[in-house]
Formats: sequence, C-alpha cells, structure tokens
Amino acid sequence: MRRPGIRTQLLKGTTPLLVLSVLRDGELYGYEIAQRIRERSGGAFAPSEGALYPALHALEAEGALTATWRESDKGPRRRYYRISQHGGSLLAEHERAWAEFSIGVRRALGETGRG
Amino acid sequence: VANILLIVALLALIGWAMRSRPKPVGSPPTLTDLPGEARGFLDRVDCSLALPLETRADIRTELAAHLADSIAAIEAEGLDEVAATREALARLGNPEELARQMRRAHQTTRRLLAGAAGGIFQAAVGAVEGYVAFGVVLFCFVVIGQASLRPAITFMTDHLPRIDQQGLATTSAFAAAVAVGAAFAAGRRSVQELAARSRHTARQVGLPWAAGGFTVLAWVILFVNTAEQSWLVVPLELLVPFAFAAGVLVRMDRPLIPRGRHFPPKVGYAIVLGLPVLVVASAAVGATSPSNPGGDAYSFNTSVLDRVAPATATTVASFEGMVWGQPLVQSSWTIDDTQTLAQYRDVRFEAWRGTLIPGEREDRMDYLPDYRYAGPFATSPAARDGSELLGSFDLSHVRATRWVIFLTGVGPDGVRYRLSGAMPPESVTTHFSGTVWDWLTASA
Repeated sequence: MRRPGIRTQLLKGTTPLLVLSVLRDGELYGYEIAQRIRERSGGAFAPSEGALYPALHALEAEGALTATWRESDKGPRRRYYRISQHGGSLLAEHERAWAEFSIGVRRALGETGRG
Repeated sequence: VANILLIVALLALIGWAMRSRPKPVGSPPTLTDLPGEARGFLDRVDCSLALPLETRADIRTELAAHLADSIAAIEAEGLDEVAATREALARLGNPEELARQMRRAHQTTRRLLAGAAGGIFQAAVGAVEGYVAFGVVLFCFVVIGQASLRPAITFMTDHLPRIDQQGLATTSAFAAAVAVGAAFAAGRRSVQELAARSRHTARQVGLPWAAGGFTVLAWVILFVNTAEQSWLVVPLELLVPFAFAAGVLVRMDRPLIPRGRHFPPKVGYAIVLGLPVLVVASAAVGATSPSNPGGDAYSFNTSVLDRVAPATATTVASFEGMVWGQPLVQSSWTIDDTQTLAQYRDVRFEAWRGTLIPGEREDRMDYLPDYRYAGPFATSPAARDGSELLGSFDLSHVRATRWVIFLTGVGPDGVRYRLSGAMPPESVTTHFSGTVWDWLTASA
C-alpha cells in the first residue's frame, strides 16, 4: 500500500534545487515556478505551494535570487524571480550533491534487491 | 573653507545614507477581487508574520497573486468558485505554519548582522544629522535668548546658584546639549535601519538595541570622553545614553510627532527638547551678563582674610605672576621681608575657594576666600628660588570654580598665620578637564 505523503517527504530538501533549475531559463513568478516544475516532471510532482514561497524568500535572502515587482493585467502585481550569479553556483553545487545522492540511493536499493 | 567643505561633505553623506536605506517595494494590494475566504486566509498569514510592515505587504501581495492564479486555474478545470478557493487554500497549507516558514526565511542571521552593521552606520549618520539640526536650533535659541530674553534669564541667574563658570564651561555645555539631540536622532535612525535590514519589527529588536547602545554610550560618556566638566555639563552628558535609548524605544512604530494632534504630545516634546536649550541659553546669557553677582548672598566683610588665617604685621611676600598650564598652575611671589619670613616654618601656599565680592563683576574675578570652608582645597610648599617663592598646584581634577591663593606659615607660637594678601585680585577659575567619572569621584 502506498503511504500518503511519501512523495512530499522525498521532495523535502529538493525544493531549492527545483526552483533554481527552472529559473535557469529565465525569470518567473511564484505560481509560474510551481507550474513549470509540474510540467517538467510530466505532472508527477510539484513542490508544496506552502513550501515554495518560504524557499523562494530564503533563496532571495541568501542572494541566490533577485526579485522584481511587475504590474499584471490579471489582478495583483507579480513578483518575478531571477537567478543571480551566486544562485548559478549554488545550483551547480545542488546538482552535484543530488547526482551523488541519487547514485548512492540507486546503489543502495540495488544491493538491497540482490540481498 | 574647511568648515564649509566639512558641512557639505556631511550633508552629502546624509543624503547618500538616506538614498541607500531600503525602501518599501510593495504596498497592500486591492483584494476586492479575491473571495472572502481567501482574504481571511491572507489575514491569518499576516497576523502571524511579525515582520516589518512593508515586508508583510509584499508577502500579502505575492500570496494574493498566487491565489488569484490558482483559483482561476482550478475553476478552469470545472470547479465552482467556492470549491476552487478551498482547493487553492488547501494547497497553500496552514496559514500560521506558512507565516512561520516565511518569518524564518526572512529573519536570517546574515540579515541580522547586516542590520546591526547598517544600524551602527545609520547611528553615525543620525548623530551627525542630529548634531547639525539640534546644534542649529540651539544656536538660534541662544542667539535669540541673548537678544530678547536677557532680562528674564539674568534675573534667573541672579537668583539661582551659578551653574556655569564664567562661561568657560558653556562651550562644553553647548556641545553636551547638542549631543543629547544627536543621540536621540542616532537611536531612532539606527533602529529603523536595523529593523528594515534584518526584517524584524522595531519592537522586536528595539529593547536589545537600546540596551546595547545605552551600555556603549554610558561607558564612553563615563570613562572615555574628556571635556571641561561642571555641574552643568555632567548631567547633560549623562543624558546622552538615555536619549539614545529614548530614540530607539519612544514611538518606534509610529511617527515621532503625531500628525494632526497638537496637544498634549507636541507640548510634551517641546518641553523635553526645550529644557536643555533653556539651560544652555541661560548659562550663555548669564556668562555674558554685564552685571552678575552670582552665588549665594554674601555679606562683605573686610576681616574675611583674618577669619581664614590671622595676618602677620607685615606682608612677607607679594604676588608676582602665574603660569597657567595643564595640569599644573605655577605661581611666583617676590619676597618682601626676608627677616620676618625666617621666623616662620612650614611656609606654604594655600588655595581656598573664593566668593565674589558683592557688587563686583564676575569677569573681573574679584574674589575673597570663602571662610565657610574649614580649610584650603589645595596646598603647595613654598619653594625658595633666590628672591622668589614658587608654588605649584595640580588643579586639573579640582572642582573649585573660584579660588584665591595666599602664603601662610607657622609662627613661633605654633599658630599658622597669613603672610601675604590674597592673591590675586585677578584670581582665576579652575578648569576641570577629564571624564565624567573623574569629575564624579574628584574631591569636592
């Protein structure tokens, strides 16, 4: 039986990586970021919307993102985020860490399967 | 020219500092398009944020935009507005938890350190700003006071104990009074900067910031800063750390002077700010007053000197001159009667507190020894140098304001006699130069 929330648990900690990776292509606002991640994963997952904004603001506080307000014809103004130079370095660091982690997990799972 | 350049540089610094301060980038959005349930959710987030107003407004706007997009997208999938709103809100999760996460994202140690650094810088800018502004106001007041309030203030100084010393301490008093205003401006400006940069409310950071600033300033005022101290200057200097703390804590979240309300707040501020102004103006006017008896009522008595020490039949030495230096005051006396001098032992100069002869002008320094004191406040052995007697007094930490010196010696009968007249009719006022702590712990 599939445990509810297991995907959320797996996604925890990857939100900054996912956010930085979609912003590599250009600036987006919060809702667009969530949509873009969902599209890229083929609808398989998206970060919790409640966790997305704290992650965006934390990355901005860290200097990985810069934010700009733009007027919108669809209601309130949007806050667009753009990746900074520091954010680019941070993304590369996250990607390396994720690659090592996922390889390790695969190996561990393979060994468990053989045992 | 140098002063003008300095003022221009200071104004440029203030202008630059004001431009460099973080400005609010958002304002509360118009939320009338959002369903009531969504507005209620945003209100709950807002109530739990505990962030500066402009940051809260930014977050509210951003979440409102998100909800508007999210509700529209869900409605496009076929749900009605009520169901779409509930679904959009459910995706954002618990509003209090969201607020807590947002607060943690904003209030980082890095921002706190940056805020503290910015606060210190803005404190310096605020101090300059306050010094210039309050200095100009005080200067104008003193000038106006001298021109128009002279009779009233002269009356005050004639009937109250003198708090300045012939105007010698007035410059220090002026500087100290201006420093009170500067400290207030520094406190207020610095806490605003700290709160804005660290993303805290002024109320959250105000108390520790005020305590820290108070401690540092109190230490500097008590133990580091040296000035010409007096009963006027010391209280003003001691007010400086309190003024800083008041600048940080008083009406920290609101404009200092409420708009549209004139009484009683503005009257209260006028009194608080006006008091040091009045004190300094009073001292300044008193210092330049052409006729100022000063001190307590004093009945002139020609035998005052004899009350202090009985005089010998002849004058043994007469005053020649004085070299006024820091920390030593050296006086030289001409020996008039060597034979009589030889009959006395333990010959020394005694410095007594003086009192102004009634009716005489303060600036002429016509003092007599104040015989209400039991003894001299300083003594110096009379060192003989040929036909001269030399005395040397260290008065740098003596709080006497008026004083006189004369020569004494112990006669054959064992009684100490006065061997000279009171020196000089042109007696001088001591300058107490040191820290507040030196002054408070010095012999009275």
